[in-house]
Amino acid sequence: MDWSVLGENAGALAQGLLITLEVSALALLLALVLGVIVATLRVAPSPVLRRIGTAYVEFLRNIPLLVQLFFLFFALPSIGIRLDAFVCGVLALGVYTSAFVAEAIRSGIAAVPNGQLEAGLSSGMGYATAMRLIVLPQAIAKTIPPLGNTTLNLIKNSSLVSTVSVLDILGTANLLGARSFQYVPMFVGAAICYLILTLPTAFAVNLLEKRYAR
Amino acid sequence: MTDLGWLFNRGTLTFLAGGLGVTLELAAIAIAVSFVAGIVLALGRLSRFRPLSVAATIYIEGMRALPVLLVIFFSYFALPRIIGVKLDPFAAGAIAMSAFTAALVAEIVRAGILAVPKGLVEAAQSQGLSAAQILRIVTLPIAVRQMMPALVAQFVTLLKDTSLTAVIGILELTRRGQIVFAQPPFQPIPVFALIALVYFTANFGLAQIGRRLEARTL
Repeated sequence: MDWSVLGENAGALAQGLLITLEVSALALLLALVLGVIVATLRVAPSPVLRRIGTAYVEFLRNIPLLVQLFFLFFALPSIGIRLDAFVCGVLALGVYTSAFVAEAIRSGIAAVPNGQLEAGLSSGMGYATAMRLIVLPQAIAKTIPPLGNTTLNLIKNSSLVSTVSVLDILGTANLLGARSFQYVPMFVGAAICYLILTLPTAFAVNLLEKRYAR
Repeated sequence: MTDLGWLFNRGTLTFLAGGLGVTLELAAIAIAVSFVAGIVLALGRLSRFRPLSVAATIYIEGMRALPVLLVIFFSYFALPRIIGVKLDPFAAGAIAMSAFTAALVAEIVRAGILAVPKGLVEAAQSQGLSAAQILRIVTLPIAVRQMMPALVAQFVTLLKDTSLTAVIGILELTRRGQIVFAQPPFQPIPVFALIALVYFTANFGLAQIGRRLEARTL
């Protein structure tokens, strides 16, 4: 084992770390936007909307992320939609994670007493307004710990973009490992990069959990 | 695209069903190994013997902080260089899935053990049961029942994650799907639809079993 390969390629790994961060941040943004919309569907008064929300969540949660990513990358071109690997990665990761975000928010909304919504409605607000101004702000505080865990999983899941040849942390380590035949140092380097991202996130999640778990 | 005879014929379906078999086999091995290893790790972390609890904690927290795909790649490409034994993809995949899931199961088991009321353990102690007896007769049975829902959810994740072993060439469901659509008539969409349906059915079924267990234990 030649550990010098790790020092020589530290720059490339750092570059990969930036790509991982970029994919994760964009996917998280997408997941939060979609997740809030779907969570609202899941608690809507209309049974049809609720059913659409449930179908969305169950469909995405029960199919492997890799299958969804491969669908975007390998299957869409057959009907003329050609997306860049990076875009496929962000889309697949964001949409997949939105199901988990929706579940986290839904359980948060369920934890807000019904009287809050009713009070809003009885003072003349529409359902959407009462949701936006009264229920959601309270629900979001309750969903911060589970959302933190979802974010952690998202960062780890972002490694799947390496399978469609995006050079994130894992993609870079894999490529350089294959080139130098020094897989052990390269994967240890990749593991360190992931720990740099996930350990502080996990620490922050634990802190928030303690603060909000009341 | 309208005629799906190329997909729905005996040969192709048998090929894909074989892939589902490999997926389930991999998941079953990983569930069995990670369940036992997870209990051992959880007991290690809860142990009053410091070096043991520190070692178990580092393993659990380290694994949980890493992507499972990295663990799979490591197991296939790097582990053979460390242990000096060549691993075929299935063995490497089974080791990776088991080692990774064990850390997550350990945390579920630990939470389950910590949730067992102290009074029950004290009652058992006052009856003169040994620590090992208390663990076997009182703590673990109650803990296992409480952690069933979380365990089933973890195994749903595991079943989905086995798809990742496609990248090291294990001929499980996802990999076989790729092989099918890489052949004439090169139609990936029906193949993906079929594979997605199979995963969905398996996972949704597993989740329903979990829900039933939850209803029974609470």
